[in-house]
Amino acid sequence: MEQAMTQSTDNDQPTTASLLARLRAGEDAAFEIMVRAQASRLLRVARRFFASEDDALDVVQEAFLAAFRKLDGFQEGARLSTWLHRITVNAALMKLRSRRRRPEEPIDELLPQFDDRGLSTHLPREWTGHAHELLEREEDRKFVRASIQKLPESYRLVLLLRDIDEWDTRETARLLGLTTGAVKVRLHRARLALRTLLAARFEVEAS
Amino acid sequence: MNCRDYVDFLMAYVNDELPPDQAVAFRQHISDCPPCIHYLETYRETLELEKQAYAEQETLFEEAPEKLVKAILAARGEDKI
Ligand SMILES: [Zn+2]
Repeated sequence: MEQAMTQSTDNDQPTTASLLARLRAGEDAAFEIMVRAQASRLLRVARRFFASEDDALDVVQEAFLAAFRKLDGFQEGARLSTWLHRITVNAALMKLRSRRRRPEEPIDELLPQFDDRGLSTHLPREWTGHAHELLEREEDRKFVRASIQKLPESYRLVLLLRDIDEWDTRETARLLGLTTGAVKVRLHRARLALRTLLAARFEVEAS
Repeated sequence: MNCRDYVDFLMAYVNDELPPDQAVAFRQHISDCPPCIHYLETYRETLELEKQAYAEQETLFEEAPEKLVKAILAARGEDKI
């Protein structure tokens, strides 16, 4: 137990052969070390995908169980944290997929509008302050997160994986079962739609 | 280049992926259509805001919720993994 506490702070250490050997041998203490070291970080990852805390907690639990089952597939020398991160993202995507029911809202209304000649029908205005000033307030950070939650799911997931989780285009395409071209188009639209939602709060008044 | 093309090229421009001739046309559009500069600025700010909104406030290690740890370890026991 004492060992579990001291090792729990090393949450980004390359996995030692000895911990891995202990996990593969099914040693309870080794599992506890792994869970204590990684759970809070994985919970933060899972929270981005769900509005509900219970869903995020479920996903982390499912991810750990999936990881325990495929410990044999873990490449020695790889980072346990990276491996678990991917498993958690996959578990989150699976949960979202399993409950997708209604067709999602179209994103078009949130995209910039143009007339027949391709000219802007709504002239964009500048925003008050700059990102770093805006985000000193937790209230603003919350607003941005809530705005991301409002994006249609197929766009929101691309934005979360590419911009927040920082997977590259190819990896994102693989995780979502899309082509890289589709990922690029959705990412661009997702950012434009988010820009529209943020403009409602940050755009300066028309003079 | 009209405003629609300009907006279509924002991501490639920000990523420095526009071919030189299109990058020239992109910048030319801003001088022909000054309000469009705000699309570029606010697109960049959107990217910054997204990242900031999820950035960790503290880099300190945060304890995992005890309930979660217990639940995971118990589930492992039940599944006999
Ligand atoms: Zn324009």
